Amino acid sequence: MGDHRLAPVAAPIGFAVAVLVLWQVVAQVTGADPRIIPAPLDVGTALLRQPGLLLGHATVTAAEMVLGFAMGAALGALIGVIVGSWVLARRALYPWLVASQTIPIPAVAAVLVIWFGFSILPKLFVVALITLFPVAVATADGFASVDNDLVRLMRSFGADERTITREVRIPAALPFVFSGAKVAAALAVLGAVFGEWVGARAGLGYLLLLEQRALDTDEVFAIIAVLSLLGIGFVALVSLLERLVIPWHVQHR
Amino acid sequence: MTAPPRIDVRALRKSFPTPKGTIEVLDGIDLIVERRQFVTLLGPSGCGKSTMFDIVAGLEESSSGEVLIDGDPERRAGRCGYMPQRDLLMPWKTVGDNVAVGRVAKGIPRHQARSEAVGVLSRFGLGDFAGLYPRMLSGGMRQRAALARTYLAGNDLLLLDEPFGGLDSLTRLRMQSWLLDVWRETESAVMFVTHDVDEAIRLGDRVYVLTERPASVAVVIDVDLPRPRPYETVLSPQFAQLKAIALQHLHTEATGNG
Repeated sequence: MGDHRLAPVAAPIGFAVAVLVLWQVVAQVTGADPRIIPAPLDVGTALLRQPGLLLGHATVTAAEMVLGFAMGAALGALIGVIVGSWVLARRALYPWLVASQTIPIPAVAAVLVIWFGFSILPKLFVVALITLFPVAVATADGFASVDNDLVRLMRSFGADERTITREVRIPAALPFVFSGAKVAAALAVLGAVFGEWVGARAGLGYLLLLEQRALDTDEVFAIIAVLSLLGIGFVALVSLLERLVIPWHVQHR
Repeated sequence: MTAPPRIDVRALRKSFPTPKGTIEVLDGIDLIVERRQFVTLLGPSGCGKSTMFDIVAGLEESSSGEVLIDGDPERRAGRCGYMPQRDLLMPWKTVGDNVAVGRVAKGIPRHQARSEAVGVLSRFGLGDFAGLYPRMLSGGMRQRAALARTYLAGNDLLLLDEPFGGLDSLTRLRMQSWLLDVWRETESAVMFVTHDVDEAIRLGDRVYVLTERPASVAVVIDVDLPRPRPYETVLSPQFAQLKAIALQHLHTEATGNG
């Protein structure tokens, strides 16, 4: 039925449109209080009411996401390389790495605000903390799973360890690193909002609290929509980076 | 003064310690591969052929005995082209870069290694495939690419560990013919491990038949069949005689120890 090449794009969009239409109809027929459940058109209006304001706060949140992610992913990859390359480091650190994922990040955010105040730093650290673990664990798994026969083959050619790392270990681990990075990118938006909730003067998380207190529910929904778009956009960006860095792997799937 | 053999294995022994005691794998192997010679090692699966290869390739140390590569008893890693049964092509490298990796491993600049790889690939009939990724190749082509890598890294000295073991029998026969052509053209010395009697005799100038573990040399068969050796070689009476000798020793081993 129809053009199958378009289906992967058209199907999810069609589904979303159908849900929005249904929601709009239900809201109008039942006459629900827009302060409880605003209709999609109300949310759309709210989005366009002060686009400059939303954009300004979105820029702040996006910057926190990108910078915090860069810090967290870089540190996570470094920890992953260490844990994945040395057995002793793996034994000592890996259980803690997994256990640390149970730490409630918002609680940590509260501490960070005590230390660093209302600047951008606590937000960056929260995002970094939340993105560090998936990248570190994925990288460690990637390095630990390198095909030992390939390493032996390189040794038989007379390669030193540095060359083996450059030619074999790093490229073999990169697909793992990117799958961790994509999980981390989706979490970055969460980290930024947490960071803003415990203390901020700008950003979508901060704006969301203000609108919530004013019971501007349509504005709250509009902010949620923009936050979701930020998250989707960031994951797409990391996926694009993956395509550029390891094209051989992306084509593989 | 005559040149030393490419590979000279003397009284090679290897044992591994295990929790249940020491396992003897190699029990005094003597073996020589001369220049431009094609030597095959024929033995039952698990007899220790691969261990011996690892020692010659410098991946393992022997328990006693000597291995001389071109007369040098000291350094082995990086002296010969080693090819295990799995093709071990790296999915993240193009075919050309895969073939070049043995040279890159030796510190040759990448652009130079690449152009050498392209040269070898065209000699090996894969000239058009240098820019493709390995997953786009068939099993036989992957194996040829792996052999091109081995050849480029190998200094005309190739250790091939059951390279055709994973191929279907028809592809395998074709690959044997192809390998013989490549060998004649490149004048390499080859040590080739197999557990296929026909393959060992068809390819080799000389066949070392090994015993069950711990491996020692049961018999050395000089194969005086004329070259080139097409598929039909395996049907000739002389071939059948040599095969009978090989089977007799393999069979004696199989029943004698049991």
